[in-house]
Amino acid sequence: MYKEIALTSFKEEIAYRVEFIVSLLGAIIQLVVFWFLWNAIFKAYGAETLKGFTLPVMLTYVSIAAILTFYNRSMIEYLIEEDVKTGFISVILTKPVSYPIFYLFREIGRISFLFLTRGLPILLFAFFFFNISAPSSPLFFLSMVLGFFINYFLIFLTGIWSFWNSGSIWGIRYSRIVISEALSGLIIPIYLFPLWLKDIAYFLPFQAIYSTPLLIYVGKLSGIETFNSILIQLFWIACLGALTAFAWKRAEKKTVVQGG
Amino acid sequence: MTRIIEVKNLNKEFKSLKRELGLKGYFKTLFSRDYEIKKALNNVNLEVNEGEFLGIIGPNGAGKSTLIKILTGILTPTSGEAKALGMITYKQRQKYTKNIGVVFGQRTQLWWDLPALDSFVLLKHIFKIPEEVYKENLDKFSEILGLDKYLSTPVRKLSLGERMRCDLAASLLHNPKIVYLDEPTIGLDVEAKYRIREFLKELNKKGVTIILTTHDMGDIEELCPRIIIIDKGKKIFDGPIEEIKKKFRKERLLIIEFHDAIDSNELKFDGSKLLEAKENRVKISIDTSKTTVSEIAKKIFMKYSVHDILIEEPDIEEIIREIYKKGI
Repeated sequence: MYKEIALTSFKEEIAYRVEFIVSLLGAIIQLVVFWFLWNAIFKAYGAETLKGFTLPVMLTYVSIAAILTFYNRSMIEYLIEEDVKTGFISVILTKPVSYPIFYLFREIGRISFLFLTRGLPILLFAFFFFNISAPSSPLFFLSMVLGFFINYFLIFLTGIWSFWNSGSIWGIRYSRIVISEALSGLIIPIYLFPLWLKDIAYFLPFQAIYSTPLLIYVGKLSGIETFNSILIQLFWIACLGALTAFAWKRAEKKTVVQGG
Repeated sequence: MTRIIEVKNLNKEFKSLKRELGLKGYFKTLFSRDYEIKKALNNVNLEVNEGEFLGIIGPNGAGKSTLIKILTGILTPTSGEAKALGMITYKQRQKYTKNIGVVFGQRTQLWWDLPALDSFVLLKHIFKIPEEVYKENLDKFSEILGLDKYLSTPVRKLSLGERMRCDLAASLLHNPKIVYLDEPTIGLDVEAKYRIREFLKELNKKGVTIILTTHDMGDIEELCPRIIIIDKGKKIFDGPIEEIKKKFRKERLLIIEFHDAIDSNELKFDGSKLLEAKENRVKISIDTSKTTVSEIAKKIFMKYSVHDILIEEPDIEEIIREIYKKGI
């Protein structure tokens, strides 16, 4: 059943063909802009390495970040708000399926689709034009999957806000996107942050979604650091997972008491 | 006969914020919150046997949808209990929903951008429907509802009638024991209505229990041997539709067309009531327990020059309207 939810979501994504071409083009243009930007920065800085990053490593970092950023662009908050507004939530509740799990697999379907149809072309582009390297450890893939789950709980939690405040999701989603872009290492590696900001970033879940897999990919973490980072990812999954379960119970209760 | 649904002393209250008008009232609600309690269901009792086809009617906002929502397990009552198939519907929802089919006429369960067939396949997996059962049902439903032409069109491109038929099929693929239909024929054309009614009759013959809410008295007369009427949260009638007709049959309608325009104020007789008057056409209801149709007609014939006359029993729609207005 769960495979089928993901598959149906995958099929749904195929239905939007124009969006596919436009967003692929957008992602590539952004990569080119980053190429110019980092080239300029390294030239101005005048040294081979910037806090341990060489130019090729930095370009590998931003290329992989361009793919992981699909996590951040999830539409789930809108979908949940739509369910609440239109009362579709009642329809889902009459089916023997759990709502958060239903959306988890929808998101898996969407991300698989994006990785396959947009991630792969971006990877090929980066490989041929920026000469990026392969992941330095297979643990990158594990870390990437764990990052997906942390992100899913986060977006489900922001989305579930609609059960109490339907109509305000646009701003909440936008803040979530901006904050996770800024504090996660998705645009600039956390290594380059000023110390105080680095400290803040380490206490938030965002870096566990993006920075951890990215740093493992480019080989910036030692064996023990990799191990610790993955433990932190598991910690966030446990915390946010429990919070999601709790929040959903409340939302469900509200729905069955006050009506959908 | 086995009892399939049992509802006891069901009450449901909704709390809503009381708001005063104007800017001042708006600020007031920021600081102090007064709640208004609205009783949506008031001590409702109901028993349904397996294989019944029950119609629920009542004016808008009477509590029909609230009752259906509690019966489908997606709303908890304030007090009382709703049991179906031996389960308390809202407490064992996940298990219970495997055995029921639900259609909310104003909402769709189909994925908007995908053909209905894709949604069907997903439902097959959600309900774990065996392949043979799924195939057999799909073929049967396609034939009776005439689905095959648009099963592979994205749902957003379907007309309301087509979408409704797909929705109906979708909620029945898993052979549910009870089917809840909340206004399934709302906004449909004659052909779509006909198809859906025929389909529901067929389904009920196979022993499926069906609970239907509707505003269409055609649905009720054609499908439901038993109805309940809900008004202001209370069940005010429960029984065969014939009973209502019998009770109100003491009334006759007299529709008269005169040659010339007349003063309708003069048309007042004992045991009759003027319902409508348009220039030279009037509609009079006659209480046959007090007088007879011929008595009234005689009086009118003697006074006026009559062009045409028609005597009718009130139809069910009229009876229901009367009940909504005055109670039973």
